[in-house]
Amino acid sequence: MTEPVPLDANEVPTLVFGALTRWQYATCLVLRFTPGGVAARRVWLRTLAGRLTYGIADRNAPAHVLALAASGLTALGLDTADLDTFSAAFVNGMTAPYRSRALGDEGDRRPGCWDWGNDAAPADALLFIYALSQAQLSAAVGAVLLPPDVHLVQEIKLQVRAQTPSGFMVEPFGFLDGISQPLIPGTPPAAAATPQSNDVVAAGEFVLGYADSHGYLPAAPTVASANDPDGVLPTASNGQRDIGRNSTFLVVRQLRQDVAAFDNWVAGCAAALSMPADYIAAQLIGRWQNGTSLVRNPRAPGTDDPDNDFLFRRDDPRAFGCPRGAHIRRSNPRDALHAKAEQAVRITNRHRILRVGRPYIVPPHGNAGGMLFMCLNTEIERQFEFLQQTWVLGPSFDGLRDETDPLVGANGGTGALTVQGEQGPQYLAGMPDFVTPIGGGYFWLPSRTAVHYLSV
Amino acid sequence: MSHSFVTVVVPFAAGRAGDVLTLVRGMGNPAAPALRTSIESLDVVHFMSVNVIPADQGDRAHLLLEMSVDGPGEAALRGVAVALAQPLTDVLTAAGYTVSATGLPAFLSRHSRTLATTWYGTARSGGALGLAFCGSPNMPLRRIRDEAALGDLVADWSDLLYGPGPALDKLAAVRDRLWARGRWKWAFDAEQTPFLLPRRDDTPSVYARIFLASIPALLWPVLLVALLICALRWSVLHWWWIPSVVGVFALLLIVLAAVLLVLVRRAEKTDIPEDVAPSPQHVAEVMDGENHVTLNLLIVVTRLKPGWLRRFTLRAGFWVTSAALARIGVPGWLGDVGVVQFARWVLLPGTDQLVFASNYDGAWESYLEDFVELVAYGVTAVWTNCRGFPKTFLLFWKGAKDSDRFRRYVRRYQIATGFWYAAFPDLTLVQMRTNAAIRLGIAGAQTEQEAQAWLDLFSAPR
Repeated sequence: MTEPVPLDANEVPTLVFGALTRWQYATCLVLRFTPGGVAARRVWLRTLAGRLTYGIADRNAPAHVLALAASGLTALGLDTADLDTFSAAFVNGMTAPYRSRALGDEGDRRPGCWDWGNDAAPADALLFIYALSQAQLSAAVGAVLLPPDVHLVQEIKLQVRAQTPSGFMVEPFGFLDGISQPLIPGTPPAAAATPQSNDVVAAGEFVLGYADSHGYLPAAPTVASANDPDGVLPTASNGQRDIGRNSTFLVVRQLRQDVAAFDNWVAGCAAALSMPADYIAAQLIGRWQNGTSLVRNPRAPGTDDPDNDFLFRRDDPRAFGCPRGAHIRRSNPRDALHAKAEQAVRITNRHRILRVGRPYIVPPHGNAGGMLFMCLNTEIERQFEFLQQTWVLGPSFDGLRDETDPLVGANGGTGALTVQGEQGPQYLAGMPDFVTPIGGGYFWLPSRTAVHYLSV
Repeated sequence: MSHSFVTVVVPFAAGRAGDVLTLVRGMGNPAAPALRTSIESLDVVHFMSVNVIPADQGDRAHLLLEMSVDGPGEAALRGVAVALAQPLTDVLTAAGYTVSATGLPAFLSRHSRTLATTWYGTARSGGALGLAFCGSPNMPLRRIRDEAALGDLVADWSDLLYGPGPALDKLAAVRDRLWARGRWKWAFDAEQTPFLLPRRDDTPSVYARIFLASIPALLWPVLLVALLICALRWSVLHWWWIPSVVGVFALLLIVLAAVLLVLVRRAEKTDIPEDVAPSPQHVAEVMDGENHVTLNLLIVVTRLKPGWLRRFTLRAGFWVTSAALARIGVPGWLGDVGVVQFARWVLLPGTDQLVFASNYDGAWESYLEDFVELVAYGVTAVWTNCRGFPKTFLLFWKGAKDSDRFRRYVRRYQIATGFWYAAFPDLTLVQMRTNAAIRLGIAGAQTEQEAQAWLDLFSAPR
């Protein structure tokens, strides 16, 4: 393999370099742009541009990340023809009916029932602000003045809960989260990894303008040269202007978590089968609450830090440790789906996502309401949508019979998980919905240069 | 019982395409309930689709009706002509044909095409250059249905499957209960199940046999030339006559291959790949027809590059693919891809338009990635002959490996499905193979190890 090109830290949005868990206080402002007012919004974007964070964030200052939806780009004056060079998934949006069907957002999960991101409360842009203290956060939020034609649809308060010494967050059901992540060569998380690590994935899978794992540059959006007379943007290979270089796409889904339903079902199931509750809960996830894996610790939680150095088919060929349908196996099957481990991991890694979300809290009491799931990828269809449709929600994933992801799927009271074991298959059944989407969308994280282009 | 591929191609004036399309879409995707019932009652149709292939440059659009059926194609086509007489005559009327319900079977049969790769097969009337593939050989509708019911039934018997004790005892208990119920006795007789057979390796002798088979199919004109040269040069009575024919034939082939190689490389350097995103409107229209059930239909219409070279390499590509699939790997699998139920390529006669129609399991994204990761050389070898395809190297390499551009290409040339019927719209091949293996275990597992493997089927893929 050729030596990877280092990411341009001056241009690439900071979330690519890490989820900013050190900045424990954060908020997500859901913004709507009213029709017209392009000029005023560009002025606002110009003032905001100076705050946006690229590369590795300053450890003491607040960090800002701006995410734009397709409608937001139009509202900033981007040509329709230029917008159409973005991927169809991004332009059509997460809530297009046929995409909802693919993503399982149907019935009471349909976008019409969401709090935001739908027709009733559209999100043209999201502004994320991360801070090291509540005071710093309040000051940073106060400093972002919204002009009259930028409206705050709602604010989603975010929180890093009970971070462990190893740096992992706890999600509302009580599990350590974010343990298995793809590593981009040249970013801090990848520094500690061995070169053979199965998690090292080419930069082009997450940032436009860099080679992907097949050695090709990802398809990138462009702007007609006539629309960039001053030559702000670099030249693309087809002679147009490259607005995509150093940018990435952000998928956001606000997922409400019904902690009581989860705890009740687990307790009931544990009682019915005479098994410990933590064991039942672990089967759904594929890890114990402390993050140790079922593959390595099939009977009881491990006592060490969360482990991630395992493959499914190689280390647990009959799935007697981690059930085939467990959440972590569906979201990242590693070597499970093909006979040759190396090939299997390589194929799986074409569908990896870089998760950068965190729990949100519900005012006024400030309890965790669920997760603001966020992930980065360069091809929404090949990465996030594939993962959600084929693996997480796939009814016959890895040969299972009519099951969906027990944690995030639409269980509707009849959700089931087959647990493989020495004594034959055992079914954990009767699951209600534990997780329900209540907002979301597809967004674009522009590079510094692209923000500059949009603001002048 | 073997399968047949019915391919009916009806040309019509392009100006009528809009009206025809409206009627075809009205038939439903997936099929409207009434039509579904009519087709189901024939009990031979696995998949059926009716689509409008837009005109490329001339003024002729085409109506494409394709079916994958049990038994002879003629009989199935007659059955469908009766079962769907009304909607089909309506569609044909809109296309400008006057066809009565009684005349419909003969009309469809007259426009039916037999897919072939040999010179003779495509030259004779009713032939068309094309290739068909079946992912479920020796699996008629009845068997698929019965084995699915059996699999679902036994999977629910956790009282027998789960618990301490040898797997052989559990299997015996399942057999007893099935036998006692009477109607499952058929399951105790094994049937041929090609898609569960072990892989056939690609040894040198297999390639030698493929080469020998190519002589009567494709290369005989070269052999004729060799014979002619030798007959003119030497008397046939000499002992070296036959060896000289072989030698001249080999020499001619080497020269031809070299010329072909040079021409292909030259074309590949000058052909212009498109790097254009499909319009969001087009993607929306296409995706609107997807994911209504677990299975999907993909129809892609591309245009052949001009010239005889591409027509030849396409034909050769089809022939080699079919010869290899018949001798290498597992029947019903395309290399390592086991998600294609029925698929076909057809070059619409009298046009440059190459149609790919595939009934596959699961999501489009997943299917395309299988192409890219597992059989990139195969799809590349076919689509490299079409305009705009990503850059290839010597027909087989690169091309589809440029995954993002390949997927954009397919989406751009995919057409939104018109009418589509699937007999088992939610039954994937993975599940079909598992059901078949469960039945074979009931029929034949004897050792504890075999019984354990059988027990694993209730929670593991095939």
